[in-house]
Amino acid sequence: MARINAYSLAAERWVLPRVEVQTVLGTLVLLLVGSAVLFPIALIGYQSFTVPIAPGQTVLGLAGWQAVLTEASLRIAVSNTVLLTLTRQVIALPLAVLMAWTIARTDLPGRNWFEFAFWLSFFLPPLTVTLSWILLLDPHYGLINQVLKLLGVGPFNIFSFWGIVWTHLVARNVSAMVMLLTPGFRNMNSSYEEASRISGASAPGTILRIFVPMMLPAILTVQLLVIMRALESFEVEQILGPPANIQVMSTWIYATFLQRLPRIDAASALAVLMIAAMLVLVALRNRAVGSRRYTTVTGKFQAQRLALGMWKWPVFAFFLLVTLLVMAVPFVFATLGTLMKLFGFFSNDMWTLAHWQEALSDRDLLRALQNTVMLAVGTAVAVVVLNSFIAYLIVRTRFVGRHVLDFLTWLPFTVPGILLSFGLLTLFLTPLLRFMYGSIVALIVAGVIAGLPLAAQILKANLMQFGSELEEASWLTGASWLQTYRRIVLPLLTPTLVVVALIALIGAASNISQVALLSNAANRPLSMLQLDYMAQGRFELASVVACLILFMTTAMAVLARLFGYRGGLGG
Amino acid sequence: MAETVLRLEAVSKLFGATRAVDRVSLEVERGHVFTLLGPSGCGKTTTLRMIAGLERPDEGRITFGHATIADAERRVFVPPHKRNLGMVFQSYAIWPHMTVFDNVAYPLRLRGLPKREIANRVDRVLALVGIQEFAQRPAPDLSGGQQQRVALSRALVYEPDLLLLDEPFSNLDARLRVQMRVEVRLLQQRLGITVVFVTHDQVEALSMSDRIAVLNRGRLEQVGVPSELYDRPASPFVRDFLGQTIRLPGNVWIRPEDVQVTRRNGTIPSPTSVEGVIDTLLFVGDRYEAHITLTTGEPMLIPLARAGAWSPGDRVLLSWSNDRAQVWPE
Repeated sequence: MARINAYSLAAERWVLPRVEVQTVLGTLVLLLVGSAVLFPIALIGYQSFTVPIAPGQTVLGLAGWQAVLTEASLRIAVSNTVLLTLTRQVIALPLAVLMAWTIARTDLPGRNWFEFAFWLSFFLPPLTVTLSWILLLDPHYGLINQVLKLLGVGPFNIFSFWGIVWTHLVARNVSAMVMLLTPGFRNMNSSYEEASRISGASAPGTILRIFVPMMLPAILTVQLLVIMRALESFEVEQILGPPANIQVMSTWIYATFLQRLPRIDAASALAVLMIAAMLVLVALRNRAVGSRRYTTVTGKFQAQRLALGMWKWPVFAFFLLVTLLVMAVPFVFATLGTLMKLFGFFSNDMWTLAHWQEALSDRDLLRALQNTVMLAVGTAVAVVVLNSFIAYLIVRTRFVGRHVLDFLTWLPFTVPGILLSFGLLTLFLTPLLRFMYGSIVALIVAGVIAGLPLAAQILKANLMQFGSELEEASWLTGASWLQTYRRIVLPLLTPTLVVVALIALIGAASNISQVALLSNAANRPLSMLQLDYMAQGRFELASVVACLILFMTTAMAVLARLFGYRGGLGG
Repeated sequence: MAETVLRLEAVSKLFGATRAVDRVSLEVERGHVFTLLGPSGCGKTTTLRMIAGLERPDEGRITFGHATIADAERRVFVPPHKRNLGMVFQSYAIWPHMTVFDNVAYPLRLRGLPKREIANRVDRVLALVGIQEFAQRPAPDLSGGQQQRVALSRALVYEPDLLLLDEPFSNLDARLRVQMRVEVRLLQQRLGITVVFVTHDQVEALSMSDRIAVLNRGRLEQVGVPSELYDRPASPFVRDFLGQTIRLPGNVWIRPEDVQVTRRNGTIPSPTSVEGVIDTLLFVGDRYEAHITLTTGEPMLIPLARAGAWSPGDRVLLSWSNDRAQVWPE
């Protein structure tokens, strides 16, 4: 009994120690995340009541809200946004569900490669994709339009409503949905479908009556995520919209900052409406999904793949075509664009390396490259450190504020990038934080906030996956909380932490809208430089930057894949 | 004279408004296997986790040896890593990023033992459970039974004062489960270690335990040695949970194996026998499961020996001895 006795004295001193550590740590993280997420949103709300009367002078008033309700340009921007979003989704949803189903449930040849292609295409910067499609679909010089002209049809003008729709579809819209839906589709037990077939339903009938209804929660969730991203989309419209005089909400907000007297009140009021619309969408989805649980598999089963039979090769050809559109076009034409004497002009004697030489000696570009590297690394480090704590607090502890923390990490997903940028701009223009404006740190803050939802989600899912017993086993064998965190939790999380870091790197290197209003000549990253070049009509230089970003993000996406990131909901 | 190692005094755990564990008091004696038995959600695992220090009791006190390890009123709580307990988890919780050797050596490394000593002790304990040859394997490459042996080695290697087993056999297939039951029982007797064992399987509980505590809805129903619980259950819950029972006319309850079935051939039923007809016979290998309807109309399932050459439609006489039967109020 001697050993047990030795603990009796120690026992009296151990009064609730673990809770205190967690509470202190949790409160600090909660305050940090809370202020970073809520301040910009609150500031936007406040600013919607401050009417600018002269540069630098404002009064309190309702003019901004009035403008939102009455001003024609704004009404058109709102209706354009809604119309573009709906059109895209009407096309993308059935296509994506069918393609994800084909990859997950049939014997399509090369299905794993197709899945990888969609996965990779999700990480291609939309601006780069836009640039490569301009080469093909420019109304005058586009390669496809030249062919169409010979055939006596066309042209298909990319600078139009349908051009914007098309560009989104081949950029992230379809591939994001396929990437998110496929893992869930794959996990459904095939006996549900087999039972339907045996009862006499055809294969398409089974998809419609059994598969889609059972997968509805997953489909609705993915649909919600994609619509929320569609409502905030910025750079594609910023490039393709002006020639056709098409403005959307995000570009309207951006445009007002280029005016002498920015309509901050109207932009803010619009922003409040956008966030409210996002929250309504989330509520609608929660209501529709309700308490229905995801169809997941608990036992062991062998998913029986449906044989496509005579459809095998036609379907394969279709997938090959889609892969060419979403993968090959951006890679080939973004590269070609950098080597053309005059961007978009195809002729016999058009190749040159001059743009690369010019770009690589351009001081703007070198500084932007340096900025991007600093921004990406800084963001990745901050995202990993912060989110590993957040995920641990939410999943593993009984910290009282963990539900609030969970909500706060998810909230930035409802804030469109341009609004985040706007909110932070307002924050960094307050006297106290003014010194941060124009610094890399300001951009890192934006990157960390924008990266919160996905990073926390991935880490939470990973922590839940390996269960708390692995840690409890360590405590029982005599390891303290800190020893357990270091020797069990961190080693287990490492592959996922690498993935989170890489995704943060990709985001920081390619995102535009969230930094659009925060960057100036001093801290401008590559992505903003590309946008600026395009706005100036210097497409050759823009495509050099596009290439740099494309290869950087692709390399990191492939690395993340090697570390096990497969996408999907909660994975 | 048996010595009490672990004592729970009116221990409760609340999850929101529900009392997951409701004023449970227990005493575990040195060298015993003490089993917490009950259906899922009865509070047995929560009780075990409070002993382990993974949950904090909301009421009551837990003493271990002469030390108080948890006392809700005095806000005393010894964290799990200071309790010197061993535990085998339901999922085994083998750390996937380590080899078998590293898993088992982990507790010894924490205790700062010299390298040679660690290697010796790990070798010895792996030999004890028969998985010496797997020492350098990565943990995820093991089968369920092997993982369980690793978990057991890891819990035993630092010679804890008490071993906690949380449904350790539930993830094994039937054959392996029977084998591990015997092995663990033999190991426990050889080492003389005190064990607190949680299970929902009454056969496992009856065969492994020195004493069993039956829990239901967070409350203690009955504590006793296995045969006592089986033969003299203190409540209908314990009676039904520990095995099959047959309800005979007059509210007489009896275990099926205590009923003698004979062919009805003119004898007049005594007060301790009833008549019935075999409806159907289910052949289950070593015996028949006979579905018999009494003349009173009540159906029941009774095991019959194969030797009897029974067939459906046989009229039978069921008789029993009163000292094996219990009368329960409605």
